[in-house]
Amino acid sequence: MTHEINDNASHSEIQGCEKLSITPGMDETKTTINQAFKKAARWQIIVTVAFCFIYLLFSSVNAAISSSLGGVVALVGGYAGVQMTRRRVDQTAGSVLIVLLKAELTKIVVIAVLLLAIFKLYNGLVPLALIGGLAASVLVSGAGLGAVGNYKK
Amino acid sequence: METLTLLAQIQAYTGIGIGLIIGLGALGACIGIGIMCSSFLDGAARQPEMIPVLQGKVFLLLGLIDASFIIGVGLAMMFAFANPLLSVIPK
Repeated sequence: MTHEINDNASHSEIQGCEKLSITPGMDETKTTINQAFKKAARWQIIVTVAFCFIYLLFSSVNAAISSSLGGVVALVGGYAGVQMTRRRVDQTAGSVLIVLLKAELTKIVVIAVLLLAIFKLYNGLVPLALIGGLAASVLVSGAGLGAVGNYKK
Repeated sequence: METLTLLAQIQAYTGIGIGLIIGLGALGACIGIGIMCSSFLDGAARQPEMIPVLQGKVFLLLGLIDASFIIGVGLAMMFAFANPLLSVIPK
């Protein structure tokens, strides 16, 4: 009898866990990632424009264009990663992790290819300005964490 | 001839530096991502209802962990395609 009760209890717990893990998450998760990306993208655009003006004031037009190209590269890479997170099937922890790692891989590949294209094709490139814009834009993308902290169920 | 030797030396050492930048950056990023993913799986196993909240944070933190690697890749490309160290060679 005791075993039956325990079995029933554990069975109901497992059922509860399955329900929790499958049902509520998808739309809320998409919204959370979208909100986070929007906030991060807003800060990335602000920082990119600010760096562009700074380089325009204190250096040349080519440096400003290079800096803005660095920011745009980080922005496009982040957008490609977010697009990858929209293609998911279920909501288990393992599949979520695989989707996130694929999104990160996509982001890195897109950024590397775009950087390669810029270095090969843009003749008037100012490399330090490009790296500065890229670094600032990538580092400020953590600003989206604030949007995740405002999650409401 | 001496200029050619100097050029070859600079390019060789730059190649080693590029390998170190990308390799060590990838190593650090992989260790960080591994630790974070194991923590995510741990948290998801303990509280499955927190997966949607944790997923957004994991996505952003993946970007932050990879930031140093991406910057390193940019620097490595700068040394590969527009090496500033080559300017010391007299023309």
